[in-house]
Amino acid sequence: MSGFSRNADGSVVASFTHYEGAILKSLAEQLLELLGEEEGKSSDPLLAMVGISTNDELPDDPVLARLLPNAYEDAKDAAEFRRYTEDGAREKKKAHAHAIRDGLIGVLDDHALDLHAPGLDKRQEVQIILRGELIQAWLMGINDLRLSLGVRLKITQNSHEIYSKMTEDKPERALYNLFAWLGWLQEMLLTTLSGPAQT
Amino acid sequence: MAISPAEVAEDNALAAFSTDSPWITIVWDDPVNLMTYVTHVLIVLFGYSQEKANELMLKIHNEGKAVVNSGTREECEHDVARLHEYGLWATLQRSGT
Repeated sequence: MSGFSRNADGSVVASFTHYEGAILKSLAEQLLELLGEEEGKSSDPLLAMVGISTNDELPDDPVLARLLPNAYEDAKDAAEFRRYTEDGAREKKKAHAHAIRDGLIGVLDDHALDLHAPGLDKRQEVQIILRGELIQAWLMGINDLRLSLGVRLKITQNSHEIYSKMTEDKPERALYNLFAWLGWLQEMLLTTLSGPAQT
Repeated sequence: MAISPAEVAEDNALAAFSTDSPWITIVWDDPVNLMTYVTHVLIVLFGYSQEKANELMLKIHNEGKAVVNSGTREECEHDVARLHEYGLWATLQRSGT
């Protein structure tokens, strides 16, 4: 069964079917691609070396704007803060997505992305052991994926009602199902972290 | 009694490191982050008890925002950067504004 459990040594075991793992890996890759966009927009290479960007505007893409929000309500303070911090914030978001992607690449085989490959058992389970900082990186990475899908789906308090009435053939419904699945995964990881270790 | 310039300078230096907290860190409600996740983040970042973190999370959820910490401007900027890393929607501002 897919989800998370905790070992006596504090490490967390993430279990997925091959199919779920491939989807999660693909979502992480899409996020990495998005985080690479607008990057270094009109940047000064020397300043970039020390992590200072000449870009001080909220990203155009609404998902990026949510992942890299303003730190101040005051526009001038927000711009100033962004110049010094956005590059670093992007790198951290990328590191979370990388943690998920790299972990999955390690256990999914070559035809991970070709779910129609002959002989592939999509329900075959893969397991990843997460330790230390990797656990929080996965938690933050799953949250970034939820935030991204949440923005695309324009999630509000009563979205569940709206989307659950949609028929399964609608693309928005499929996206919402993914969003709901990620929420379930995150909830399970949080429960695992707060509960006792399994022996 | 006359105050020497050195004493004035010392007073100013003390004011800069005053224990009064002129800046506050605010977390805003958003419709995506799970309540359990917000509580978890407040515990991890600020070392709050489960009870206090849960109380703050409910305040964010019910009132739209809550002050989660206070300190110098630099401390609050650090808070906000860490909260953004976790995907919470946070800002800082001068206390009392």
